[in-house]
Amino acid sequence: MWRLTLKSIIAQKIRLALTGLAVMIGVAFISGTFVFGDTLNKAFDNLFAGIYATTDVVVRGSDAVSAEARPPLDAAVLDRVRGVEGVAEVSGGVAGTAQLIDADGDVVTTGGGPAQGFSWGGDSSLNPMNISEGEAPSGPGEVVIEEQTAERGDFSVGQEVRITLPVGTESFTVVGLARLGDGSDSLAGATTAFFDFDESQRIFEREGLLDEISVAGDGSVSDEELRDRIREEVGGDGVQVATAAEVSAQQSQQIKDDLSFLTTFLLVFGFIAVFVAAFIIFNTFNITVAQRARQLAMLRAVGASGGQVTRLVVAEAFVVGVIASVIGLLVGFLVAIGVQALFRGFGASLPTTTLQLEPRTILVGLLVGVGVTVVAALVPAVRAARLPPIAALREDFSLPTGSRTRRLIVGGVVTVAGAVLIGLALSSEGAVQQIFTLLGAGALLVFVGVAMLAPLVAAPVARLLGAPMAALGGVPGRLGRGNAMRNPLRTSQTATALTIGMALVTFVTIFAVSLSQTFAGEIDRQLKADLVVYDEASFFGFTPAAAGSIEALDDVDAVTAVRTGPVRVDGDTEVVSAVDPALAVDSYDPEFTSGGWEDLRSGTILLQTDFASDRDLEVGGSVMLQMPVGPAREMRVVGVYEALTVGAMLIPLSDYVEGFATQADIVLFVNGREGVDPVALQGSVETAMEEYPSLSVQNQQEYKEYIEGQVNQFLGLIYALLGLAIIIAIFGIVNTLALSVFERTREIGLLRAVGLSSRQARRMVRYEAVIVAVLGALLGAVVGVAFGIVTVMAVEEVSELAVPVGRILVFLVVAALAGVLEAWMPARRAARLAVLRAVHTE
Amino acid sequence: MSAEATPSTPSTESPSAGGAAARAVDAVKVYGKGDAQVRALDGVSVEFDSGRFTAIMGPSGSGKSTLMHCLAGLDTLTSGEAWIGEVNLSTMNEKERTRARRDNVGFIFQAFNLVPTLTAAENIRLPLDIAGREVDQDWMDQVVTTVGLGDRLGHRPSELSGGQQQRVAAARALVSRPRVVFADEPTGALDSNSSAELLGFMRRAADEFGQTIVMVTHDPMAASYSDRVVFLADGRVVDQLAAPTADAVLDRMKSLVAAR
Repeated sequence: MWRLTLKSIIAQKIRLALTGLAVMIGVAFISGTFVFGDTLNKAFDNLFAGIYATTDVVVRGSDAVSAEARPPLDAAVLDRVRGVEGVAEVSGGVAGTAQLIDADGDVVTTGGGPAQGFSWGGDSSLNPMNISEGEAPSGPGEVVIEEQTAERGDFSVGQEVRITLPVGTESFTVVGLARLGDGSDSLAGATTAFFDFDESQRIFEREGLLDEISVAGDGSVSDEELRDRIREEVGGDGVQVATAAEVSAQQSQQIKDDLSFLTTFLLVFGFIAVFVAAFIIFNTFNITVAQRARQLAMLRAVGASGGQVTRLVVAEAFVVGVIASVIGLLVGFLVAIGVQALFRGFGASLPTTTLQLEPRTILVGLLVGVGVTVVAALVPAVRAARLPPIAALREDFSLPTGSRTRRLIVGGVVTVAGAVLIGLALSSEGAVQQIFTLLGAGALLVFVGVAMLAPLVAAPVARLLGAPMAALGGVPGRLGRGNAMRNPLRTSQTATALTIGMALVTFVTIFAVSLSQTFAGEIDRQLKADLVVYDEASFFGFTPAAAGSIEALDDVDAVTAVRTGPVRVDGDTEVVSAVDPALAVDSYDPEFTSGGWEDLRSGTILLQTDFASDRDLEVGGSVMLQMPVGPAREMRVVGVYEALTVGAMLIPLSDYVEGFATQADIVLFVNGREGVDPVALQGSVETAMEEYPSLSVQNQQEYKEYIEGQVNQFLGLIYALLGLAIIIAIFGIVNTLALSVFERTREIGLLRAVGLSSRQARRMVRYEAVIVAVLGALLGAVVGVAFGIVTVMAVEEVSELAVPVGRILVFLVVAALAGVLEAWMPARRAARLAVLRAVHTE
Repeated sequence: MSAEATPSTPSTESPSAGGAAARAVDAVKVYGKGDAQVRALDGVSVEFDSGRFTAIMGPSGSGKSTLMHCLAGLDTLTSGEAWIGEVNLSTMNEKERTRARRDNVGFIFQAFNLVPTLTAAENIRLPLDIAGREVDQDWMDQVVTTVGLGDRLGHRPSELSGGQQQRVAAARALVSRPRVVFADEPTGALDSNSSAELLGFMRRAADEFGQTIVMVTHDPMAASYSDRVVFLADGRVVDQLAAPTADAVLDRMKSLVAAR
């Protein structure tokens, strides 16, 4: 029997290769994502191990509120650490934002990575950096730039460079270049500059303060013992002492956690691709079983048991799955390299190392690839076993199809079950992961249900879609439509693969456009200021000096600065925003449902409606707010607002200044003086902001367009990733068409014999392909619109529903064009059939 | 279920082989329901003697194919019994019938029904592979020599002529030494030369190997190779003919058609 399996795989190599290709693409994407993620993690492990290579113990501000916003240490701590027995060497450092401006006046960016500045660690063995060219910074106005950053910004020793710092933009001379260790581990992912220590304390606003103290022991005690001794001496409120190993593991882990959304995000699309592939496998095996019905029945007639026939088909699927998965794993490496290149192309440099292949990657790749192939082939395999042996003796035998009523009931139940799961997910208050798992499972069921229901509508819809072809396309049009209609089960199973991709594309489009419109609406209603200023290059905020220079302009009446930062509330890390309420009155309306700006003063807080209701808070209640600096404060709730754009909590700027070590504005709202021409106002603010090239000055309209642009950019990325699922679906259609043409060899030969031209034969196949593709896309559009509407209605953050009908129509037209493309190969084959041979084919 | 209950004339030429290799007792097969009801078999009782080559003949719709399908365990009777040797197929479920078929029955189909991906030799061995049985190489060689396929064993069905393909199918039917080989219009798709070769081979299989063969055919020439012809009409056994010649068979057929 095994021989029979192998032989039949070899005989069907082309169609199985196309099937395997679908699995292969899915597995390659999944394993590629794993390899990419593991490589990235390994690179960060190496990076932090390198940074702390010579350090034994690290003293830092506590991460009680957030690891990203640690309070600085008093500089006096340094001497107390130095005095601890067992300490050989100590080195204190400060750090802050330092955006380098290149010769063109643009900020050097790494695509979202931080722009960081550090005090130079000197000759101490604790300094992980080495000067590779020039010399160390030794006084005011001197900077050393990390090699790869210098390469990125085209900086060289001796050059003047302007740098935007917490104190504003200043000029420095590049006195040297530096590298981490021997330069084998890259610091990529950030731009990095080093300054003289005293200069650093000034420019990072850390006078008399330190961010981190590195300690080297004298070797007399273990790192852990040394840590405990130092903790004894300086530990306490706001100070954290840890071994270098702990710190590097923790920092690495933090970055991994931050980046894990990326791999999860990519994995989702990998699994969508595999899901689509499953439909194609299912379909292909159904067709090949039907085509081999006589042969399989003959096996039954000569004594093969039903189980043996099932195993025969499953074994085929198994072999295809194994081969496709192994190739997929190999191709996964290329995918990983591709993803890396993609990130580099977007300007996001990430640290790299040799590609990492974890056993988990192989395991998951094989399990998913082989598992999905075998499971998808199971139904056709069982169906094959049900073939009555007597079928081998009949000429006109075709596989029995299930009853329509049963299909309607089962399909309906599955669809409804999926819809219920989606409903549960959208109304759930649980963890994000739980919601997404429910959503995914629900969507999966809906797709399976729709796939089961699709054959019921396939024939009438195909008749409708094919009407213009039948009317205008002559005989090939009528034949093509007839072919699309004659096996509704196959037509709809083929089309369903495309349905999934199309539904997801439609869904994200509706969601994204609704989101854009919601934002635009919020800006219209809430933004009262003339201009908005924000940092294009960084999410970490910018120097308050910028607001200062705008305030100094004659045309400007007031500048409202918004700052944000992490806080702890009831043990959760949340983000708080801060503004000066006296200024905000004229620039920003968060749509208060109770209270207002006039109520906001020191010790009080405004809450977003959903945040307040989730915690049963209302005006008069209070929130214990732990900011990075100082003890927790009880903040009295004085107002509730609806706006989502400013976050969940608003406090007065004065309280923020006390509670946060680093002051950085995230956005500025600028109001011009009465009677000042808006264009002139924008002109003068833009001129003032030339000092800060990463800052963008926009009026309301531009700001709306910017937000829309951001959403569209993200949408574009999702389209590209869903393209994967759509390409797989297209392979599926090509495969089915090819099988259908093969199956109808004799019939097409007959048509050709009675006068159908080869061009007409080609057109006939093309018409069928277009009908199948549009049928799939149409079903997808319907499901996608339903998904979109339900989601938009359920997600509180999106208040406006937009269904871009024009765009969805464009998708359908694209699907029709894809149909023409898909038909290319099978149509050519149909057109080239040798008439005589075709007629004599058994 | 005793053999004496058969209304047909027991064959006088079955002394040696030890009783019936296959038999039907009051076999009734009804297709469809109500007005559309068709009685394909209307109480057929017949025996096929061991080691003999029997032909079943009858006009279209006489029930000859149905009878064979039911005797071979491919189809089930509405009532009555179908036996292969001591095995009563009528009381079996599908799984048991599959086993019975595998161990007791060989098939030769009109449309050859070879697996196109396997070579001739592999096709011949297929029933043994399915059953997980060892190939008796001597027997295999003997069968292959008898059907005259010696140098074609490594070829695929597509590389063989129709006659050769059918001889592969015949070899496949014999290789597992089944109690009965059923042949369903085996010459239907062959030219007269190939037909003669195949029928000659079937004759030899019965004579030299003692193989029981039951063949459904509508060709008097083919029937003349058999030991005995059973005539069916309207789902009943209507006549029998021992040691038939083509002319005798043709005459009986004519009278059968005329009688309707």
